[in-house]
Amino acid sequence: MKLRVEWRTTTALVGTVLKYIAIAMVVPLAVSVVYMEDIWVFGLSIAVTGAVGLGLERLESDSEIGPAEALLLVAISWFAVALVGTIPYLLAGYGTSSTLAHPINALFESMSGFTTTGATVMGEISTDRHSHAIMLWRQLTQWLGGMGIIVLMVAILPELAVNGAQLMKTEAPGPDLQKLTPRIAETARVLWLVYFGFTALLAMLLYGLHLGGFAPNMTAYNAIAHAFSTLPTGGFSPESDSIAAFSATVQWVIIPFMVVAGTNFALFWHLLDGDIRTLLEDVEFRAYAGAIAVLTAILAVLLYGGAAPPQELGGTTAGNAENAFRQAAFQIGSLLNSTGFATSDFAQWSPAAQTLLLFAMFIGGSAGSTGGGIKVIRWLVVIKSVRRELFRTARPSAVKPIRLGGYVIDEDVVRGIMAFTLLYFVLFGVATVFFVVDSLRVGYELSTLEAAGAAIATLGNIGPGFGSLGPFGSYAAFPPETKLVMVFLMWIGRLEIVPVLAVFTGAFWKR
Amino acid sequence: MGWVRVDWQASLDLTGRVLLYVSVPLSFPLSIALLYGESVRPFVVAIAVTLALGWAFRALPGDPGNLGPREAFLAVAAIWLLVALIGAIPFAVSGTGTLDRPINALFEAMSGLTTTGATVLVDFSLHDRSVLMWRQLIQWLGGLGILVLATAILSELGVGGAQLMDTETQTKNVNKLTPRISETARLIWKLYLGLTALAVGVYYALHLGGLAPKMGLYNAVAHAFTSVATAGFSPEPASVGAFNPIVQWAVVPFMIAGSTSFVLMYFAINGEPMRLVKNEEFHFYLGSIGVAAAVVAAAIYIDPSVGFDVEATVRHAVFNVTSMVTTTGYASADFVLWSAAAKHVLFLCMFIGGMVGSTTCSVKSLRWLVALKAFRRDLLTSVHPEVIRPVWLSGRPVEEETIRDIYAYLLLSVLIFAFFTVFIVVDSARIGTNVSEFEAMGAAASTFLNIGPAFGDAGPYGTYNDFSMTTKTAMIFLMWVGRIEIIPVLVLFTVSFWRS
Repeated sequence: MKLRVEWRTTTALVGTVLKYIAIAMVVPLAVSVVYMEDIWVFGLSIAVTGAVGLGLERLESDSEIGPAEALLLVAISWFAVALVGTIPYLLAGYGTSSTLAHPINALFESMSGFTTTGATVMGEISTDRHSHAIMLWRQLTQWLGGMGIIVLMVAILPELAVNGAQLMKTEAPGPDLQKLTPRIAETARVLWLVYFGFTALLAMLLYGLHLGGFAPNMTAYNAIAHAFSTLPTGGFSPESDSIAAFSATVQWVIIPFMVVAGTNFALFWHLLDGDIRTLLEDVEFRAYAGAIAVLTAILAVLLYGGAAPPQELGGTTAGNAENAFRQAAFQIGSLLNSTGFATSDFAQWSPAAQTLLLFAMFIGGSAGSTGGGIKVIRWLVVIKSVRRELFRTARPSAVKPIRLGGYVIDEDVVRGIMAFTLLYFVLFGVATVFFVVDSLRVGYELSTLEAAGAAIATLGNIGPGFGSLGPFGSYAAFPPETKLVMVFLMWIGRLEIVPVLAVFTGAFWKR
Repeated sequence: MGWVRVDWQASLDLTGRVLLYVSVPLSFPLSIALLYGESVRPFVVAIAVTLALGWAFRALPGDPGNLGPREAFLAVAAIWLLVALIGAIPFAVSGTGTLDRPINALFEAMSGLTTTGATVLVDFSLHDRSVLMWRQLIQWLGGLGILVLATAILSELGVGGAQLMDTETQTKNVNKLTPRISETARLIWKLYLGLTALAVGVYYALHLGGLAPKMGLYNAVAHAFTSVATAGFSPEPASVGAFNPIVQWAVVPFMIAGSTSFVLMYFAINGEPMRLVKNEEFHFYLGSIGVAAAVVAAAIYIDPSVGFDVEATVRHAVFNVTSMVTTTGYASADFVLWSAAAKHVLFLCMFIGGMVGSTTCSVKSLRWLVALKAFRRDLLTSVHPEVIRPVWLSGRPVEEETIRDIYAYLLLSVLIFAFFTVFIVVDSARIGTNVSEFEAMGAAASTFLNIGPAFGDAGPYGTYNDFSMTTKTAMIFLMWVGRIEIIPVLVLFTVSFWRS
């Protein structure tokens, strides 16, 4: 049988990706050397990952990658990376009672990491139970996945420059890709540079607070670990109490960085050029910032009015303006763009406050950001096309294109956006029902809010849900079948559904 | 009113004509009341009001003008609202039980006319048999009205992709709707009447044959009215669960027929059965029922707390799934007591709906089918952007504009449902009633998609009476919006509709 897709070239490039993942594992190896823990785990992980990568690279053929190969490369790479990401978890967990010793749990944690979801199956999250190196690997997977593994490859591999635009379009969140520079590899480098810059800035600020005495437990380790999972809108934390473990000052510092992570990074490139108007006049950024502001205001009022019980972690918000505002801004800033950090157990908040958070989860970050979800720009187009639909019903003969920020949006793009949004809801609905049915099969009673929260938290790459899946909870109790479905949802959610599903169609493979 | 460019006189003229007609069916419960010696006042008042209002609308000065697309939308919205108001009069005047509050009477009438089947009644024995029969009849009228609307008006105006319906003539004569309406109505209403008569015959024959002791002539007529209309009201508090298994099996084909395209059934009767048998939407619709029924059957079979034998398991699964997919809203058992798994699958069924051009509600199989096909096509074009491939439906290519209409319609439905769920949660928390998210989702879907029963207190053997006044008012509004396919109502709220 002759396949239509040049799978050899694709597989060889996946090998190259894995080779670089092995190199990235040097970071936790260094940490393990510093703390003298689990050195063999990362030594062996690097050896296995590197060997697999080099082995696959030998499949190299001369053919170039076309659109189909690009799609396949992105879809397969992400799954392969999640697979090798499990190696450290499995090795470190071998022979212990850690939940990560189970392969499906390890795959869940790894996929959750790379896709910047932040949902965890770990039982006990602490550096006493797990080594510093393992916990940092968990953070690092999020950082690598955030701006995109393929974008990174395009930036550093000259052979990918030819079809780099197609590759990056497949991986980057949002319906459109802005070319910042004429050469795509240059654009990829710029994006990673901005991303790296913000991460370094946050790590320094957090450590500065520690040195200044404002954050006793924000050590250099924690500062780097949290910078690694803030900018990719990830949400993992080596602390079981997430950001609630840190002082109010730390929480205030992290809020703007979460907002930044959900913003189109291309806008910051213009900002570096001294061009502030591009950012301020960007339609999507204004809608994104507006949504955060409005939802934060509503939630702050609810919390001030007593929508949250006094908690050990979140403190009292009723009647405490600073805390109510901080909790509202933090949770909205975290859940709207799919980060998933928490400073309070919002699973205990009132139904109205929780419903508001669930609502925020459906918005998502901006196109070209590291955020997951449906994305602000899609909502803008959906709202405009529904309005146009009503207009056209009144005047069937009128022709009215959809405009966004002065540009006319192509009808094909409009249709694609509507199809995506609709499919997103369908997947969400079907997944919710599946979770309820499958959990009940093994006798695990799940409320609808928990199931719906789990569906949007995995598909939207958010992380925490509600009820027992709240920010300080765990996904460990689900049956393995449900976890595999969640892994799949995280995978297609990060790549925005189409590339992965396309690979599963017969038409993709057949000539 | 110089800036209004809608010939609203034309809309009101048509509305007036319909209101005059409504007096005819109102005399049916009137005769029932005379037969059983119950109060005739509810119906006399309603007949007087509808005649007066209808006459007043027709007597408006000036030339009524032409019924174009915009006038048709206005008329459709006005007719459904006003007939519901007229329909509420017998309930309000009788004032028995929970119908003592006007908002409840309007809820019941709107639920009836929109073939929803959600009820605020608590104790059925308090109400006159004539009033309960009006409740059944208004559903039958709503079913007939929606058939004319779906086959003659919405398909012609192309609301949310309804132009894809396999109608006899694909004329684009949108400027003169009136002849088209009467032509289609003539074609369809005989079939509707025939199916109803057949249902009465079958149900009553089961009674005469000694197989259904409770299915007397009154119940046979009452249930025939609401099964063919996929409506769901029943004068029995236990719905179709009040009758024996054979009756439940007999109701299933009538629910399915009520949700099958009447145009295609017309062809099937007139010697072209292949147009129905080979219709892809028909396959999708029956397939959905089959798959969902299998899952529900499995879910209740493994549930130790239910304890049905095999026949009962299959029957209850098939019956209740069919009831949900066709948007009828009957129940053969109190599925509120089933496991969460079975309930969630039933909930998902609410969103499917039957075929376009039938009495079904919800978003309808056709739209899902086209959306899924379009999405599969998009997967291909994402890999090969150079390929131009139309979406095919039953051997015909679908226009890209229609696909976009369908996407917009589906998204709008999902969004309205989501916002309405949030509204119910918040509003119930406000008055301190305990409504879980699932119950709120169920109630929102069940009213907006015109199904009827939901879960929790609003289950098939329960009532919507406990919801707050504001929630009930919102439900009345959304039953109205959902029944006439959203867009004819929403468009009235846009400025561009009214201005030139």
